[in-house]
Amino acid sequence: MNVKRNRMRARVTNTLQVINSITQLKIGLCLLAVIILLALFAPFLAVYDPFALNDDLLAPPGSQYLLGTDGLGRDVFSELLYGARTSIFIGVVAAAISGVLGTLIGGLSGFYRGKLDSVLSEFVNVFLMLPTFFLILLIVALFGSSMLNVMLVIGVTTWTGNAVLMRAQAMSLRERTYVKSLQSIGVSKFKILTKHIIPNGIFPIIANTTMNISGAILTEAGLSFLGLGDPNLVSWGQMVFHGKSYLVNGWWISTFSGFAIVVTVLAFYLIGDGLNHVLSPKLRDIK
Amino acid sequence: MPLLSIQNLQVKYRVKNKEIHAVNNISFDVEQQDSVGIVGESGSGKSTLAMALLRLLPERIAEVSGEVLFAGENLLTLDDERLKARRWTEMAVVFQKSMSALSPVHKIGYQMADIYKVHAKTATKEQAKARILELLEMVNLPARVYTMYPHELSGGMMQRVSIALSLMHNPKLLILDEATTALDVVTQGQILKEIMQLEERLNIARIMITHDMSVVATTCKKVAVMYAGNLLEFGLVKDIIAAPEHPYTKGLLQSIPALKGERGELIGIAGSLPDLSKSPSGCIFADRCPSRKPTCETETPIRRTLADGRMVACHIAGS
Amino acid sequence: MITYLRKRIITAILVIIVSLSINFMLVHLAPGNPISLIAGKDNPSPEMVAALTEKYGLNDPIYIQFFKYIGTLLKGDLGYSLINNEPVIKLIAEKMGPTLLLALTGLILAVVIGTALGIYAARHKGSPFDVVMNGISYLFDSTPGFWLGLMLILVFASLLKWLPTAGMVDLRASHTGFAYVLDVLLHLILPLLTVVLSQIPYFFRIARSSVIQVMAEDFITTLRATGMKEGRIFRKYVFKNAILPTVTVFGLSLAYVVAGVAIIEIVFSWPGTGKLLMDAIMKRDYPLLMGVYLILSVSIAVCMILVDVIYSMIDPRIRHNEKG
Repeated sequence: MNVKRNRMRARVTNTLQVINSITQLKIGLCLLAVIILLALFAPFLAVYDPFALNDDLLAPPGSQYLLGTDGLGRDVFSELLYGARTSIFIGVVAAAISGVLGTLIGGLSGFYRGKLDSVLSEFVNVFLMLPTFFLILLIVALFGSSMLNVMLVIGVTTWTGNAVLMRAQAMSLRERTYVKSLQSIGVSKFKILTKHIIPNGIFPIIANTTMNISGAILTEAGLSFLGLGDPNLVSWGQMVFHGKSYLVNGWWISTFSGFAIVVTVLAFYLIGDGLNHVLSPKLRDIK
Repeated sequence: MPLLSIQNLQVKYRVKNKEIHAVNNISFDVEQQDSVGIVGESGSGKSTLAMALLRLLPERIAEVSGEVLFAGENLLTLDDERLKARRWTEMAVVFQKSMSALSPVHKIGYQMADIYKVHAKTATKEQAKARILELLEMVNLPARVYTMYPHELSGGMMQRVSIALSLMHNPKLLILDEATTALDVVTQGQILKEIMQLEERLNIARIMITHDMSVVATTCKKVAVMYAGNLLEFGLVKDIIAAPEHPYTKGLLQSIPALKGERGELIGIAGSLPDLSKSPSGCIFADRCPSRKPTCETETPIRRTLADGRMVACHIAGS
Repeated sequence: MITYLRKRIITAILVIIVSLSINFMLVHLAPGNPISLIAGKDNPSPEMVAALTEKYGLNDPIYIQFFKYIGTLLKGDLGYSLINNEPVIKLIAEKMGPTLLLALTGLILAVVIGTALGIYAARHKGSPFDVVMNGISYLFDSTPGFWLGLMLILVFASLLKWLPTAGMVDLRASHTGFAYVLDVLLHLILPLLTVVLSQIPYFFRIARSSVIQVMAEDFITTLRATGMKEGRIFRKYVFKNAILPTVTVFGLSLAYVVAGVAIIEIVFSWPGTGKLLMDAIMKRDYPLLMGVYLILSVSIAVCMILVDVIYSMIDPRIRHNEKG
């Protein structure tokens, strides 16, 4: 028991040391922790209902409304707190969808090789060239802009990067001795793929998926700014768009909501980049 | 005066929070027209040693101390201008990965001519080209190589290009850093033979870095045995092959199969390289040494010169 | 090289085919009747229904419909916009000028500035300049272009009143000749700055990392060992090797920037395709939306082929290595 606990402790210290040695990771995780806490405790921290329309239109930031109110009298600070939930949720789910799709397609392609690989690779090549943002925009415009649609569409159109990474991983892992021995003792190919190749090659995809969260949040914000966000949600992109009309009299609406986007995207971006540095010790050691 | 005299050369790599002693207090001489083989397993610091001699280590992470006297001039303290003037005219180098020794997007002739003009500043285009064609012929390459790109040549051909490049300005010292390791045995033998003929004709001294004791045995006069950044034994090849003094050298020689004569048992050396970021309390080889004594683990052996002129750093050697 | 190019052209053709298929599929899969989608009205007149059914062969089997659809596209017919009943292709062509002006100048400036900064940072890796530039590139990478544009308007137009807030020309002034050009330039500054600032980090990072990578190559050590001066090594050898990735992404970014610029145009009411797009979204003008998407897909495919031709001319490895 004691040995186990010690090993756990050593692992935790080791992890902390790695995090501490990579500046991006450190800053990113701190930022993200703050954002997640704010989003989690939104109902307690928000002074007003984010949908409630007050009589104080365009009240500047002050003691009554921390970050002011918007053109319809909604409290900007409360909206921001709930907007964090929307952004993070959509970002994480969309990136997860693209992570799973990319891992499966890339894994199949790189592990099975042969004809399947040629077909899938060409498929990936073609998909890489499609103007993703416009495709998303078109689909959301046609099929409606519910949150589910937005997440699905972002996820289904952005998996290519993950597929390329996973394919390379699978191609290198399949040459390892232990994979060859598994094959020779008759373990099924699909089992090797799911039990050994994917778990051992997943790390770069995790790093990339973290970066994809950033991308998904930006895409969602862009859609919302174009009026294609879910109208039943508080969304930072919609707030920026709303604030655009009040830029002169209510600068705080767009400024704070946009700033929230920047900070959140930056947090995931830094973490993803930091994870990439963990991957390549060369980058880590020699500064 | 020796052509090259290395004195107490030390290289420390500073990486994040560690200091790695890659080369530790090494001294030896290279005479005119000498040929010295530096052998050791990978990670023994032999390549670092070569890069330090040439002052090619990145100053940000490598700290080099000691003296490298080339014709009496300390290369380590020479100013940049004069160092650049010595490079390639006095000493040239052939690296291990010859395939990547030249820029992939420039033609070989273009690069060689450009390098030629670094030191032959007044040479015309035609003169540069003539010299390069002459060099290519010298290493038995066809003239068409001049207009080819590096990736169009085989490993052996690129190795010859690298050798031709190194001989461009008739250097006095040639350093071959694992220059033939990546080649097949036949090509390797051929190229080594050619190099030895060329150096006799052109009066060149050679330092040959390799992990292959047999290459040293067939092509060098002297051998330096390195281990974990330390020079363990240095002397004439014929003396050391016949009677190795250091237990590590013995181990190295035992791990080579003999082609002729009795088939002796091949014996590897147990264990692996020590952590170079920690200074050992005694002999660096102590924990792998089959004939270790208690003093080996507490006292660092001092370099001694034996009767046949060889240097050895070991408590038990020569007894 | 021929084999390599042929492979890339096949991919480009597939891109176009896939885009067409997606477009076609979307119309048929979208909720509601395709006729009302194409017609843009929930209750189109019987004559209109008949005309559209005939034109797109809506009673034919689905694969014939697909070929008819491709046939009309090949004639340059992208359908009619619902807003003002004009051909989609004409509407897009009219708005393309201002968009290209903004996108092209922005991209070229971003490439030049970003690459220069990236090279400088790589050559002084770890210096305060490098660290600060890296931080800034992270920051701008995380900034949505539309918000950056708004903030620039807030500072330079609303607060400082140095520059105009929106549009491409001052309509009240009705300038001509040189004054007109100057007026356009003045209006161009802020949108251009937004495009440039949001694109710079991309080219900065590509240049920085590829220079660092090339500097670590073995042939650089060879060149140093020959006594060649650092400046000459850099100008002749590092640069040509390190610029290749930038060339690759430049062509592709061109198409993406045209797309990205659309949102920035909306912020600045720049009279380009962005405005058209916004209107199309607001009024659910599907033919127009699809037209924009199609043109974009095709131009990406064309850009891709162009880049590959240029790339294979610079990099001899592709010219000879058939695999590429």
